[in-house]
Amino acid sequence: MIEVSNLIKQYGKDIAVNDISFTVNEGEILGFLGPNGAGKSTTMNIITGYIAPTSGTVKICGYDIIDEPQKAKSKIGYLPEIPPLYVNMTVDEYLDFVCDIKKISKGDKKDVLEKIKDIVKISHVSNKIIKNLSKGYKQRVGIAQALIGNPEILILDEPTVGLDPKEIIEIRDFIKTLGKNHTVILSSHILSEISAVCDRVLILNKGVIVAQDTTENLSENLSKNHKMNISVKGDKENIKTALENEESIVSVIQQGENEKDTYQFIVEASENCDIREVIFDNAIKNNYKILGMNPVEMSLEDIFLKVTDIEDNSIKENTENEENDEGNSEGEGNE
Amino acid sequence: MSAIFKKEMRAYFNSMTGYIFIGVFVFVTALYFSLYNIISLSPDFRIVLSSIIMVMLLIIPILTMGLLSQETKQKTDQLLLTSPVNVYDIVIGKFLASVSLFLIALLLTFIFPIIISIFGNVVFSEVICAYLGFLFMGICFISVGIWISSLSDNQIISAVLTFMSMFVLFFIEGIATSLPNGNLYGIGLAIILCVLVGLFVYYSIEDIKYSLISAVCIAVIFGIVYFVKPDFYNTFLYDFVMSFSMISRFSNFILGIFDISSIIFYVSFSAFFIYLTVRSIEKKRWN
Repeated sequence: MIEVSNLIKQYGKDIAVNDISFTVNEGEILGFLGPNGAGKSTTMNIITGYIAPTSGTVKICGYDIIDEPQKAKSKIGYLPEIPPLYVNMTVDEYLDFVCDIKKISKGDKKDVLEKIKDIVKISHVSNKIIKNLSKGYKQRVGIAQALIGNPEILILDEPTVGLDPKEIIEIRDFIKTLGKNHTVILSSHILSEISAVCDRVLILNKGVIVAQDTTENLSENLSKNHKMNISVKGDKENIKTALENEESIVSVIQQGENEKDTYQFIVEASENCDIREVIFDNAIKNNYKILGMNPVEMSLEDIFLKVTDIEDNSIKENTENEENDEGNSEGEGNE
Repeated sequence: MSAIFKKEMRAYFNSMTGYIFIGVFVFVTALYFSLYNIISLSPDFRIVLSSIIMVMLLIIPILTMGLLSQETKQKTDQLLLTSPVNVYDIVIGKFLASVSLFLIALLLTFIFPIIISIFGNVVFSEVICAYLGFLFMGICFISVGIWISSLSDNQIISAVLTFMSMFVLFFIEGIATSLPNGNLYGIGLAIILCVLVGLFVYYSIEDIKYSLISAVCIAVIFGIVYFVKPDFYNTFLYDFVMSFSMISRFSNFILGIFDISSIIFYVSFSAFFIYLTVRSIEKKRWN
């Protein structure tokens, strides 16, 4: 369906995308995962023919995007990072225009539009001017635009950004249903989103593919949790040394004091043990009380570190600082 | 192409742009009409047409400034360039929309010669000839405007740049006469042109071999001209600059001369700038 080989995009001396190759099969939902600036959008822009690669080829259903752009582009529906909306038009005018440039015949137009507006639930704002719509509705109009012409391939760049949690779930379910008869590429920097929707994941960092795997394998990695955030009551120093003396515990980081004599630690254990039991036993042995224990979700950065094997201390420090932020945003997605 | 055309026309009339353009154009023409025709009791409408060139220069940037710069700014070029539409179709669709609006404004002013014809004698063939010249001249300015609009994503910048280039085109006669004449200047210009052609080809296809070949070809042609007709270079600089003069060509039309070579010039001038516009959009994709 989509064949990307040896894609390179250079802006002057900066390399945005560095030698990326992958294929997407029919009916597959592929997720692009990566931090901001990883080259996700650039890759998508190249696949859709918006920008040209410095070298390398992209084939859409066998048509080269550079040599046969019309044929290749007619197979693709694209929702860029910022939905390409003419803000002075009404929703209907805008979708009508998109029908025209995608060469939908006049007779089909009405049916096509009604159906799509139904799917993304924008029928009731048909006559509103786009600039007066909320961000979520603008995003929906953008998705509607991508669906026009029933393209075989859908490329969605961060489709759930700016939506409220209910809308996010709706859109995700919707993308899943799309996957039944479309090929979808979707990008996100939110891990839970990718694992909820995609069959296969491609992790990009600094323009390179650092890992590609099925979602199952990825979540298996995720579930091997060796990090716990615990809150305990007792003497701070005692607890810390006790935990540190435990053989299977690799690191103990103190987080702060919540109530009087209650402290929070992030405890990491080695891979081949159940950290919960270790902490429990340790508490009994050293006579302190566990008030709470919850797993630290493996953040995107952790996976990056894992797959790239970068043992760079400075990165690790950053990771730990951002861990809470990442956890929060993922939480939003899950609600 | 028709989709883009329809969209642009709608945009002109959904916003104030279309109304302001037509309004200002017709209003100023009416002012000149009252001054030159009614108050001075003259039946000659062509003098009005030649006077409103200045107004046209001032308001054509309104038409063209947003055509492509707004697309880049709103990121809607992503929609256009990823849909199965040719870049030429996009540019020509937009170009035709501007031309149509200009034509509408121009047709509305045709009421003035009709009014004159009620009270006096109007030679319509002459007036129509002048109108045609005016229309084609306007088309040239629009093509320059659309090219400038493709260079920046800021409407104001493209409007100002369009103003400037229009003024240069307007005063080019004065510039040409003040230029020095002589063999050396002519040959100098020929060399500069060879280099420019080479550079243009190089930036278009990034191939040194072909750029050199094209530059050398031009140089050979200039060389042949030098040996066959050395006088050519005496006035080459002046002739070259004057060849961009829209206004001097337009004066023929005002005199009632339907000059087919000028029409060909206007059309090819516009076609060249449309080509440049397409190149400039393509260039952004490849950068």
